[in-house]
Amino acid sequence: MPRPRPLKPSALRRRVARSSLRFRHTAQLEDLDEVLGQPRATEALDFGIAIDQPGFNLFAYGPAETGLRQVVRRALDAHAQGRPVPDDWVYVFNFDDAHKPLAITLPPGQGSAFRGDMEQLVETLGNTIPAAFDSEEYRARVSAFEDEVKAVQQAALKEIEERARAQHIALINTPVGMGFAPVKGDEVISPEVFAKLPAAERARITKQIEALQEDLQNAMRELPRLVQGARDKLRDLDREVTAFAVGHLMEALCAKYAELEPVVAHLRRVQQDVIENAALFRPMPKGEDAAHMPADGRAAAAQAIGRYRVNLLVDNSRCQGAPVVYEPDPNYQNLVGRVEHQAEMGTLVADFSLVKPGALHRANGGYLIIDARGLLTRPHAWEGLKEALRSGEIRIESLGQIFSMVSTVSLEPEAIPVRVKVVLFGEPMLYFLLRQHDPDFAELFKVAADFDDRMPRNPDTSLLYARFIATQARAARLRPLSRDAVALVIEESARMTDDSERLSTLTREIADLLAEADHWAGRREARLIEVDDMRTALAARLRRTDRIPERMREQIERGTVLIETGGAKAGQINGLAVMQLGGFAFGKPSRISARVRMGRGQVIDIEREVKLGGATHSKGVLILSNFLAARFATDEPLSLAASLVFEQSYGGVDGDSASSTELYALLSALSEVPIAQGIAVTGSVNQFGEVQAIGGANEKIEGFFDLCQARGLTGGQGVLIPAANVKHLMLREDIVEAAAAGQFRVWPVAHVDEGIELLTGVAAGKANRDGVYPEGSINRLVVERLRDFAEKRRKAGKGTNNANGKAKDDD
Amino acid sequence: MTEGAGFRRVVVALDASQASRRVLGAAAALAAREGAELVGLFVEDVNQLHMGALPFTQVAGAGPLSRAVDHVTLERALRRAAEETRAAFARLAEGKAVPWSFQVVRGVAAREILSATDADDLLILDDTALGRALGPALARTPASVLCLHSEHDGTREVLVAWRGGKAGRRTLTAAAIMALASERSLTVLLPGADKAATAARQAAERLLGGLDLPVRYHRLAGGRRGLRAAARRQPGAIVVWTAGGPDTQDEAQLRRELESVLGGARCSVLLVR
Repeated sequence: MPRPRPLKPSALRRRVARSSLRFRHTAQLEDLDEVLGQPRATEALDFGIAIDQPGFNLFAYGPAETGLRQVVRRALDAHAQGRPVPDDWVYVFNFDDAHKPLAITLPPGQGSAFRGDMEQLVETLGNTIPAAFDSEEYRARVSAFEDEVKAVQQAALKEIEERARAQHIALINTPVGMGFAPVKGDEVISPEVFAKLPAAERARITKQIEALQEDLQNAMRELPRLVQGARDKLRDLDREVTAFAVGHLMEALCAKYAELEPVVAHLRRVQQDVIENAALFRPMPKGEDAAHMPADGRAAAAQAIGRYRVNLLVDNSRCQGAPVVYEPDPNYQNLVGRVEHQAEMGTLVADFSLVKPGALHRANGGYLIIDARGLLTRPHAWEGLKEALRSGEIRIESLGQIFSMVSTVSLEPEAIPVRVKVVLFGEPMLYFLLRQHDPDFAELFKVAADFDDRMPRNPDTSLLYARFIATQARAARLRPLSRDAVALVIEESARMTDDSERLSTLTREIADLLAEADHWAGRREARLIEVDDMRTALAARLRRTDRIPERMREQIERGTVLIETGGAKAGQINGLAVMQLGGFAFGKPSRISARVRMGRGQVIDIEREVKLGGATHSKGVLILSNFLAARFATDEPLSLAASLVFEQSYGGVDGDSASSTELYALLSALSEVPIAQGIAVTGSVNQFGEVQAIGGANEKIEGFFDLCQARGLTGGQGVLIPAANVKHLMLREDIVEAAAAGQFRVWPVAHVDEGIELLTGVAAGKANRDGVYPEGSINRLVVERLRDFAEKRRKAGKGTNNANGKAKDDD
Repeated sequence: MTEGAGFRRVVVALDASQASRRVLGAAAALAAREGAELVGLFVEDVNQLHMGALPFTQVAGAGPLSRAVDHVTLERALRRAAEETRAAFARLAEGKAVPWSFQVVRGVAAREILSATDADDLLILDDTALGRALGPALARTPASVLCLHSEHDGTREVLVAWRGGKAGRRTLTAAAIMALASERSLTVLLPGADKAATAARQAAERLLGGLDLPVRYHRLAGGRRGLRAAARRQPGAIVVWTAGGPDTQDEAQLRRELESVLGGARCSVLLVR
């Protein structure tokens, strides 16, 4: 079998062909109008936005870094431009039930006009009504009524008082009531004088006073009825004066809103109420009377006048097209609106003017964008949204009302019909969870827009990408990028996807990189972002996140963690793992060792035994065990006991990318042929010994390269990778340069036989027709070692039978 | 005008009726404006106490039936009314930051009030109970008297008839103080004749110059009849009037004069001496 040749430097990093970038800098490129690399998602968006059917709301999902919210917003803005502006909504006082404010819709722009008219009306009434009541005519008529009352009161008392006076008896007013007493002149007869009067005289006076007292009592009983009659007349007069004063004002308003029946109906109720409550607009008494008034009397009157005002809930006067609303804090109240309260005299009160709109109100007739995670993590927000979409109306209730936590009387504003297209955006997991667990979801969100994190890479898409970079730079007011800088960004984009044939659509990452490079270009006062600025930005970014990888390399260099990068050893090999720290991944070399002895065909995965190995890793070990058994133990039992371990690994190990590495270590241990320690290995293996692709190839190679470079590149160092991973390679430029200088190599391997040859320098050996491997080959040495184990096992078995009369397990 | 009307004390006549307290606000404002001492004079009417001591006394009130009342009950009621009135009086006086005193006397209202006032005082009282009781005796008091009508609510203007002269100057000044204290406008009623009206207006403007007070001038034809007509048009207004000359010191004549001015009108009146 020919040994694989190391990859050429050009295969380690797929460069951008400069011929595909026909510009000198990005200022020469046009803006990219379309969404980068999201044909499927934009098609779904266009469909979902355009379709005008119930339930066809959208869920746009994908990585947040794709800028999907902005994409959704742009798509909606574009579509909304051509849509009609929805109506305004106002809440007004309900004169039949103050706790249930009425909702009225008006054509766009007329809501604020109506509010202004009602403000003006209230102000005008504040002048007109007092003026009407300030007229001499009114005062004269009031005086006449009051005189009438007074005359009736006085007449009743005066007649009695005069009758009493004729009998030398006075009517005396006291703090506890009115009474009669005999007088002499202006003074009441003292008790002593009265006692000295003849008995007959005293009896006469007493009798007279009793009769007067009875008459007084009868007169007092009649007074309230007489006063009430006069008050009724006065009230009718007030109504008459008010009706005359406000009539022309209300007629003018009714004429203005004649086309809007609910508005006219409300105006009629206002007119009626003003007539009944004209006192609200009349000046408060001053002086001592005012001092005796309740402290909150004026405030109460001012508040009562507020019921004639209008609460403009939705004002679309400035809208051009349908509204597009993004709610950054989608809690329940921010979505469906709320009723605020004011503290008054130690209690909380609310009225229709304190009804506040939610995002659903503002987006009614248009589009509402909501972050799905935010929606789902806020109490009852998701349920509230669904209820509005299901019922087609927005009903403002507090959470306390919904959960029956409060039983006090609160406002119940009239529900407002809603017709809105909701676009949720979020992670794919949320979409699939909702789809799986919420039966309403499929009914209400029928359109999914799936945003991909990558796009194909070819000369056409590279140019498209360049235009995207140009657009981003212009939008963020960054310097233009040179062609080479653009090429480097595109290559970096491919590195982000871990695939030389794909480009990243995580536009936010690219935008950040451009901003960072612009910063460095600014430091040198350049007009363009050059490729060196981009390299500086990448290096600085790496430097900022490289503390932990550096600490790990340091531990290896200082011998704390044992990793050899030179010489050769049997049963010992360098594996490669990838570690993720937030959004940063790096490769970490790890020594894997294998020990073998006679046994019953068991390969012990020490990581699994101590529960540090994941299921996928265990699967890899079982696969390689079976490869061994199938290849080397077809005719007799596999009399092997082997153990595999990641040395100095104290965290968990998972994934099968080390299974080929572990197999090489086992083959080396069995054949006792040493493995070159300057070569690290990654790749999974199947039961036929074929090496399969793994993830993180670039990070793994770079991790080992960094270690070798720190110790000094020898030219014999490199990494074995699965051949299927070659297309994924987008290695750092310094590695490409090292490879070009012959200081570091990457070998593509398709089968373990190729790998073991590269690692040991000894041919793997191919079995002849009789199944015999060539002398001196790795496979032959393995067969012989296993045969030796089997022989020893047989012998050991006999010995045991002799001793105990039965077979005994080796282990 | 830099000086006031020359009232040293503002004496408020009070009794157990709620109505008598209505004048407190106006009295405190006037005292503050005039820089005078505010004196509360609460009269416990001896007639009421005598009535309570009689064996058959009953009173009729808001309830459906008359009830018996005795001397002790009435005494308690009067004391409670005095305490409440004192509290309200003190609150208003302190609110206006004027020096004040409050005294409770027992006796016949007219007698007690007349004996407690002198020529530098302004006596203020309500026109209902106390006003009625005091009415005939008003002419005998040496003090100026402000009798507030039951419809006085502090929102109406102040009317003053002005013909000039020394006594008239004090009246005009008192009217201006009254208008300033109640933050109302002042209407000066001038003589009907052209020449006299011009002279009177110029004199009034000189006297009122520098005051932040809206002043309106009207020609008043018809003498007292004209004034009465003006007062009728302004129910609740305060009519300021110079209390007779040397020839009208007679009590009966003053009463006739007052009635001729205010007869049928529903105004307050300030009699300036």
